[in-house]
Amino acid sequence: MILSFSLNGRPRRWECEPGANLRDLLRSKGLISVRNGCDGEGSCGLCAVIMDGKLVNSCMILAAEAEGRSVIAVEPDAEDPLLIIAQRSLIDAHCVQCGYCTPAVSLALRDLLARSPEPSDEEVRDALSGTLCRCTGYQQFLDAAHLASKRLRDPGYALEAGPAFKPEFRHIGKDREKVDARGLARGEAAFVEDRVTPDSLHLKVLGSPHAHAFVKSVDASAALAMSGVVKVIHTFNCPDKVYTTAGQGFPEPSPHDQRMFSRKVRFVGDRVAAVLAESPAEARAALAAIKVEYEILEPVLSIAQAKAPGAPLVHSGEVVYVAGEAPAGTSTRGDGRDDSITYQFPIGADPHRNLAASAHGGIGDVEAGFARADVVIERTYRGNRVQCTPMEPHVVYAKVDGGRLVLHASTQVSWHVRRIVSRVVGIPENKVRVIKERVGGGFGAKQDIVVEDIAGWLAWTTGKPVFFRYTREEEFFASRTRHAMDITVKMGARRDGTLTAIDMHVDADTGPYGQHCLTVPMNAVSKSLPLLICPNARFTVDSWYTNLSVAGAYQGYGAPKGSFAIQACLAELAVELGIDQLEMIEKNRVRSGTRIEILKSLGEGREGAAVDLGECGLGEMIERGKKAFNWDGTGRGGPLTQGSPTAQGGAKVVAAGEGDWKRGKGAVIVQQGSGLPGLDAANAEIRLLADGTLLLLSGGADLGTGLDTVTAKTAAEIMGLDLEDVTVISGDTDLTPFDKGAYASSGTYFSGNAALKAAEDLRTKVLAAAAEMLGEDPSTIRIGHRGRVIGSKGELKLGDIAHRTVEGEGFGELVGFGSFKTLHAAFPYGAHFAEVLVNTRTGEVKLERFHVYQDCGTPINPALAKGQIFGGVMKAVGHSLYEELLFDEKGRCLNPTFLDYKIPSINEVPRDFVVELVPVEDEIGPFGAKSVSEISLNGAAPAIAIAIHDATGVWVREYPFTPERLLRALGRLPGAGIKGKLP
Amino acid sequence: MTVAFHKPRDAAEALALLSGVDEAPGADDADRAKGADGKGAGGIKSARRLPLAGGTQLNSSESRNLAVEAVALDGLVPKSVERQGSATIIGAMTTFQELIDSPMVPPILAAAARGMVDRNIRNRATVGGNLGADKSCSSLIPVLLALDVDLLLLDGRRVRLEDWLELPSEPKGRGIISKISMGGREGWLSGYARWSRVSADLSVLGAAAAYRLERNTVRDLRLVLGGVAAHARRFPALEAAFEGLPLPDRSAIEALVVGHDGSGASYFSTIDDARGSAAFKSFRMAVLIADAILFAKPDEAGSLPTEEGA
Ligand SMILES: Cc1cc2nc3c(=O)[nH]c(=O)nc-3n(C[C@@H](O)[C@@H](O)[C@H](O)COP(=O)(O)OP(=O)(O)OC[C@H]3O[C@@H](n4cnc5c(N)ncnc54)[C@H](O)[C@@H]3O)c2cc1C
Ligand code: FES
Ligand code: FES
Repeated sequence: MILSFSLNGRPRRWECEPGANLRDLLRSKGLISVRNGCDGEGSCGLCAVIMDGKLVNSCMILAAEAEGRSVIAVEPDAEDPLLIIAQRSLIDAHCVQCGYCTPAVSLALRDLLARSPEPSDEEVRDALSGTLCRCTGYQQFLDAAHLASKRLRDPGYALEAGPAFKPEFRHIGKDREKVDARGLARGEAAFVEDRVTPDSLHLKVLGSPHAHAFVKSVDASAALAMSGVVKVIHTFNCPDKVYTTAGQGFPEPSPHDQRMFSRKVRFVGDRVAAVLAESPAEARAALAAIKVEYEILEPVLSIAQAKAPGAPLVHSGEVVYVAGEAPAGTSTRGDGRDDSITYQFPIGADPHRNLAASAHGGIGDVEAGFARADVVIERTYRGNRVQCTPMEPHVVYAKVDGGRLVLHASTQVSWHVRRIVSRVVGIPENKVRVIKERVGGGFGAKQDIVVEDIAGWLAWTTGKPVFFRYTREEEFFASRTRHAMDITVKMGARRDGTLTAIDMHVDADTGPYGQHCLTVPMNAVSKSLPLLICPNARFTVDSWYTNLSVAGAYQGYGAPKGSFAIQACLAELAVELGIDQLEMIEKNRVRSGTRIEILKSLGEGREGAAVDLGECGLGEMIERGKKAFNWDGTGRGGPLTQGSPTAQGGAKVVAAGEGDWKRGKGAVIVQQGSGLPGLDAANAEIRLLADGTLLLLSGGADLGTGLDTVTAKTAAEIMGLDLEDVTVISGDTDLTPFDKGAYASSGTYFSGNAALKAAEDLRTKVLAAAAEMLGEDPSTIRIGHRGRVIGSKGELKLGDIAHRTVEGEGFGELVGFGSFKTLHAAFPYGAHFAEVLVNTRTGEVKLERFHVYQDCGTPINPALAKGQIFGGVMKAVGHSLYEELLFDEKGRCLNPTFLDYKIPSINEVPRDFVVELVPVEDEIGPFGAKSVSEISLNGAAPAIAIAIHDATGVWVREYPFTPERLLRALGRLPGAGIKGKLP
Repeated sequence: MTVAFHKPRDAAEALALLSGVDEAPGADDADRAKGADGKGAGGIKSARRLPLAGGTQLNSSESRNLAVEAVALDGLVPKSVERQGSATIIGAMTTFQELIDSPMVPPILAAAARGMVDRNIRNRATVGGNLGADKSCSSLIPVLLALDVDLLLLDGRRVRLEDWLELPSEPKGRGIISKISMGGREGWLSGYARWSRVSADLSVLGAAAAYRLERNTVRDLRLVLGGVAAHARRFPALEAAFEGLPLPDRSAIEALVVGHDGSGASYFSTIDDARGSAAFKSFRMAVLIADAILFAKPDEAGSLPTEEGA
């Protein structure tokens, strides 16, 4: 049919299928800014357009319904003045992070401004109520909306400058526009899906219906005979190699325990076969025609089941060690049927007891410490599986170009993708190029090679371009989740609150494969125990295989769960001792000059060593929070409001609801690392171009975090230029030098430092060239603003020097190179304060206030750093209050949709949400910077749990703190909950 | 999945299309999708012809496996809110957002519409579509059923909503809703309460109550519950349990609904699912019922929103 309508004020006549939805039509015509975050479920709002003046989801509108209507969508050349104001305000308010949601957010603000030129905060929340963003935490959208409103009246209005740091620098410590923000806001091609050509083949995967089964046979003959089908792969014709999908430095501390298609499926949704076809519909149809015969096995669906003697074995193949010996007493002989497991070195595993990894360590004499305590408590805390839910699911576009495999990837780890894919495909690394496109959110899930292996192999073997994008449902059940963990903490203290001993045991559920099976649970220990000074501390970590969904990396690794257990237990101990919980923290926390002994046994892949802490800002952070929360006043605990806010349309009847809502406060201290000292490495190169501008080649992977802006600022600062003078190319394995990737909070610290070293190297070379040209010593020359190179005998422009050198004079082209690796550990610290209302009648928890006082060293770009923190906290709030992957008694995921896995929307943001940066410079970090993002996830769960206790007097030791869990803890709901993994 | 799109010119054509009379003008030249094989709409014979309103259900992934021939109601079914005497007449194509924006919509209905927090959905989802979808988590059915509204169908019939919901769910049986008629009822009180997990969520549980108070005694209670059965419906046995009681306080209501020990009386049975255990849902529903009854206020056919109702 022919559709006539107006698009951005221009008449259009397009042919379309009557059943097509408007989103697909717009995308097929090149309007790539109309995104897809939920596959047409209607819950993400990323496909929004404005139709006849109303903000609507285009995935739920038939293209045919747009007949005769006017549609506004984001296009790079859109001229709508209101839209342009909205986009510019989002950029200026620093809320373009990954940018996948930005066009939709721009349209929502544009719609709001048209209706209400001076909107209240409530109106802004309402305007964005249907748009999900997983990066920003929504808070800065409010600033953007109010900024846009002011610009409606005064087009030149500038946002009031935020706090600035480091007065001696022009760019460092000041807010600057994120280098990719404009393109992302305007809807320019940036993501993997924007690169796909019409001749591409489409890949779809058949997931296992069983949690645990041998694949006995696969009959793909009918599928292969179907129209459009190019290839079908499965366990009997895929490469016979085991590998890990964990994007970690080689040799990885994760077992190589996965084939492209395993002989034994190990979770519901595990890969059984894949179809490559000319269209998605043909690929899907062919999947349905594949016949698979299974030998169904009993599944292991909890840590308790995994541990039980005689439990079914998730992995029963041979166990091989590349270096070192199998731990004493463990079994390595396989059953001859299952795939083998290769450990690069021993990590305390015994797969034939379902134990994927284990570790232990400690300092002092823990038993003696408990003996000296006046009070000892032991508690078990549980944190469930949560999903990263990047708004852009896993996606890759693979093709063969010039006899090489080229992967356009949405990844955090370009070089690990290259290494792993080259081994799987069986070609050397020089035959593989990985181009990291803009990443629509990663959060750890994209530290794994989830889609690149199959797509790469199929592109290489067929020679055809292959597009593979997870559905939202697949993203839920077959992506990577944070490990569920049961953490038992035993703590002893003297009457005055001084800790005498801590014993911590972590049981982690790594699911069917062992990606990050040691590193994630170890972070539960290594980012929580070192916050407290205790001479006697011990930990054990066991990581168990189960047949639930695949665990992996998630922002913070295991730290949020360890932080929950340690901080909540400390607060419980304070209550037992009758001491205020912040006094208890104060008594035992690390401070400037502390020698952190426990780090001897927490080496993270290398020999550990005690660390003498330099300056620590926790004292000031706690003081600021105490003041803001009136901590020492009378404000804590007790009844609050009358009636129930759940009643709608009610009159002022005071039902018997008095005092249902109770108010409580909680506070915690948190820490993280800044990359992995001794393990991580980053490199950067900066070329001085002939006109005096810079091309910065950074290995670092910007996932929307602003890393490219950090590196650009670094180069601009050192070379006396502005950000427009620096172009950053990053994460492309052909063009840019090696970088370990973006994980473990390493971006600013490692990749930023590499860029700094490259800039310094370039500066040295420029000064030498200038010295030659000016005929004076380099020590008398300096680089001034706007690329001025000022000597005592004269002045040059960077362009003058570059022009001469690129032409081969003097030193030849000037290129700075920087490589960074360190043994130094830089810890950011923070204090997080929460205030909640708890309804003791309904179990509901409302997060009213959340304050973050955070040290990230020098904030390179303060507003972007705050955006990272707002976003991290809101993820943690989601995990604490709403989010949990649920499984039935057969291991099937019950809530693989945004309709039933509820992530926070703008309405869940606490009304008083504050981030204050309290910088304590690090001597090694670039300009004194440390990491910022992961730490922000460590505070919400324990702070909220403590606040709930403050309000109600009950401890809830399992999160998310759903109304159901609250009611059970309050003794209002009888029974112990239902069987299986349901709440 | 939509396989054909019809845009009837008038009500007669729409009714003919939905009654399956294919020779109706326009029916033959309906825009039909090609099947995946490109050879014409595969399986079109088995496609169901359904009225299409806002499409938030029919065009969503929820309907992915349903082959649909969509019959667009836009322009045929009114999109308006008006007063006729003491009655409020709402066009079935009125969206949730328009309900909220209209000062003539009774506060209790506007509040129920506000329960759909997602603005993008509110801009499309219609009253008629909400009744047509007939979901357990419907925001509007509990209130409209408690208020005992009438439906005016496009074929001229006038049916009580309560009776309409019992008709076979095929369009042939239920027809097309054109308008909803709500009368202001002297002496009635009505209230509504819902529970959802986050703000932009379905009404996982919802309860609406309408009743009269005679000398503080409950009379003629109409209690509609959503989220505890396949559809939002009245629970007559529970209603009867209140008849003639002095208005109970909330713990008495909760005890009446789920028993003092929370063991659950047999008025409704819920299931364990990803949204909560059966025990939790029963408990929570009891609280909602108490709130719906105790927060009830006099029925208003429509007035400017009051502070409490806004
Ligand atoms: C993200 C999301 C959030 C949601 N939140 C809520 C919520 O909070 N509360 C809630 O109640 N619902 C919610 N829904 C469900 C929502 O789709 C329906 O409630 C909505 O009202 C349906 O209206 P529609 O106009 O879009 O219907 P359509 O999708 O067009 O149609 C729905 C059904 O009704 C039939 N129909 C449509 N109009 C008529 C008519 N005039 N006469 C007879 N039959 C008709 C159609 O044939 C179809 O069977 C939500 C849906 C989504 C996707
Ligand atoms: S893709 Fe349309 S709402 Fe998510
Ligand atoms: S910036 Fe909103 S989803 Fe990433």
